[in-house]
This record gives sequence, structure tokens and C-alpha cells, in this order.
Amino acid sequence: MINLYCEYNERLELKVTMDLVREFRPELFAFLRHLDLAHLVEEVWEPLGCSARTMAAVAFEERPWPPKGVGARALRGVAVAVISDDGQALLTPALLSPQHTTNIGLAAALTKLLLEDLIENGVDWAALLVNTRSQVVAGELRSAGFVPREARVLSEGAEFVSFAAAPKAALEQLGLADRRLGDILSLSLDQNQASRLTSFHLALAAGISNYWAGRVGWAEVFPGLIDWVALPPGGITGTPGPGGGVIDPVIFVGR
Amino acid sequence: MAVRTRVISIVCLLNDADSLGGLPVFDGGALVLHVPKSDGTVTPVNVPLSAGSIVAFSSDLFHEVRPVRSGIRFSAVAWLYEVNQSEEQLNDQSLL
Repeated sequence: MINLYCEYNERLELKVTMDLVREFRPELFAFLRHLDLAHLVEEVWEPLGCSARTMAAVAFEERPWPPKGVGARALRGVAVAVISDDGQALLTPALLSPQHTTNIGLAAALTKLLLEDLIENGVDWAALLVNTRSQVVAGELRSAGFVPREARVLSEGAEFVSFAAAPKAALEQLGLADRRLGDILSLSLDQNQASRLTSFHLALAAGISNYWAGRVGWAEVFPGLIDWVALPPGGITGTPGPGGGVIDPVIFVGR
Repeated sequence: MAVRTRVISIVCLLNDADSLGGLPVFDGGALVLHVPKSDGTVTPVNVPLSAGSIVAFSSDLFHEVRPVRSGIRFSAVAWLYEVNQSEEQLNDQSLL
């Protein structure tokens, strides 16, 4: 089946980096500027990179010649995970260039790369923070094997709960586990699977858009760009209290 | 002295992403030609190749093979040359 982004995606290079800001700093600024999010580099990702372990799957375009110098690379997509020492990761939905909002193949390929690398790095749980009043995103995550856990984020009157899944299970549920990256990038999948990936990624992208626009109360997804220092014991899943009862860890995040 | 200049580049892909036929497969490795347009811009064009297909293009055209993500990409390449012979060699040939 012909896909608008098929040929373009074949020219992209994809990789996972543990040092996004240092490795792609100018490209990151250029990429985020077009999304009106350039402030994230210095205000969030740079300090986060100093105190927490982050992992990012990136897709970038390369200029054929000259291959080095200003403008030689251009980022087209980024998916970030913040990893804790106890094998948990907080995800942020993949960010794509404005012209690639429906490039589901790229979003899915970034998700696959990131989740596979999380598995290799011994991460047991990957989680997204979802508005407790969310039906659209929560439903999509449930169908991909994510289940609500204990940790919560409160911000500007909105409450977000973590939805977590084992990365391997999520890959399988999304049908990405045994697929070649090229097939995913070109969406050379059966229509049911392509539709599933489409609803999953579009729901996440739309769900977080209100947060990026500064309307936190209307956001269905909260970005997983939280320093693990701020998390309660046990990280995203929380730990039982002294009495053995289930605690309800809450993280307060100001803007 | 003869100077050989590449004029036409020829690429034959020997395997592809399709496992049918028992050939080794690969993922990625797109052949991209960067075609100059009259307005001075350059447009990247992916050349759709399957095992056994051949593409020929002007050797002065920028082209590249994108990284192979998995497997091994086998291809055969050949060039057609233009040979510029020196005046001396041309004279020698005319004497024969």
C-alpha cells in the first residue's frame, strides 16, 4: 500500500542515544523551535540529563554533501524515556516534525526502537502519565497492555496516573515485536495493525498537545520528563506503606 | 596518456527485503539519487530496486546508499567510461 511518508522514511536514520542534548543540541533546538517547544532543551532536558538517566530514540535526516557542518542533520522525530535505577521508565509520546503529524510509521518505529532498548537495559516497566479523567488515551493504553498503577502527578488542578506495561508485552500488543523496522516505517502491515498503530499514536499525540500548549487541565497525557529524584520510593509503581497497605504516591509538578 | 572518466554508473541489486527465493534479506539500504532541478535545488529520489533489477544513471549525479538496518545488502556495480586519449596516442594509432 502506498504511504505518503514511505520513501521519505527510508532515507531517515534512526538510533537510540543516552545523551540526546549533547549529541543533538543544535538539531534539537531547530526541531523543537518549529513545535514552539525550544525552551524544553535548556529548561527541562538539559537539567534532566544531569540528574537522571534518559534514553531517546531519534530519527534524523542527513544532508548528502557536505556531510558535516551547520545544517548537516535535521531531527524529524524524538521519543524520550527517563529511566530509574530500579528498572522503570517514564515515557513521553513521540514528538514529530509539524509536517509529519500523520507519519505513524515513524512514530511506531521510534516506539519500537525505544522499547527494545529499554528491554536491553533491563527496564521492567515503561509508563505514561495519563489524566485520571481520560477515556481516549486510557482506552488506547489499556488495549496496548498498559494498566493503571499507583503513582500520580498533580499539576494545575489536574491529576495524572501512571499507566505501566512491560516493554516486551507492549511491543507484542502493538504488533511491533517481530516486525522489521523498514516494514513499520513504510506501514507495510495489514490494515488492522496499521489502524491500531494509528489510533494509538494519534491518541497519544493529541492527548499531550494541550500540555504542550500550556493547557494542563485539558491534557490527557502528562510528559514523562520528571526527575526521578522527585518520585516517591518505588518509582512509578510505588511501594507498600509500613502497614502493608497500598500507598498512593503523589508527585506535585508545578509549571 | 589516456584518461578514463566515469560517465554512467550501473547498479544491480542482488538481494532485497523479500525472503522469497531463498536469498538473504536486508532492511534499509535505500539507493537515493540527488537530482538537481532547474531552480538550483536538489531533490532526493529513492530508486525502487528489487533483486535482479538494474539501474543506470549519470556518474556525476550525487547518490548514496542509506544505512542497512539489518541483514546484508549485496549489489554489483559497473561503470561505463569515456576515454580521452592524448594526441600522441592518437598519432600512434593512425600510423598503424
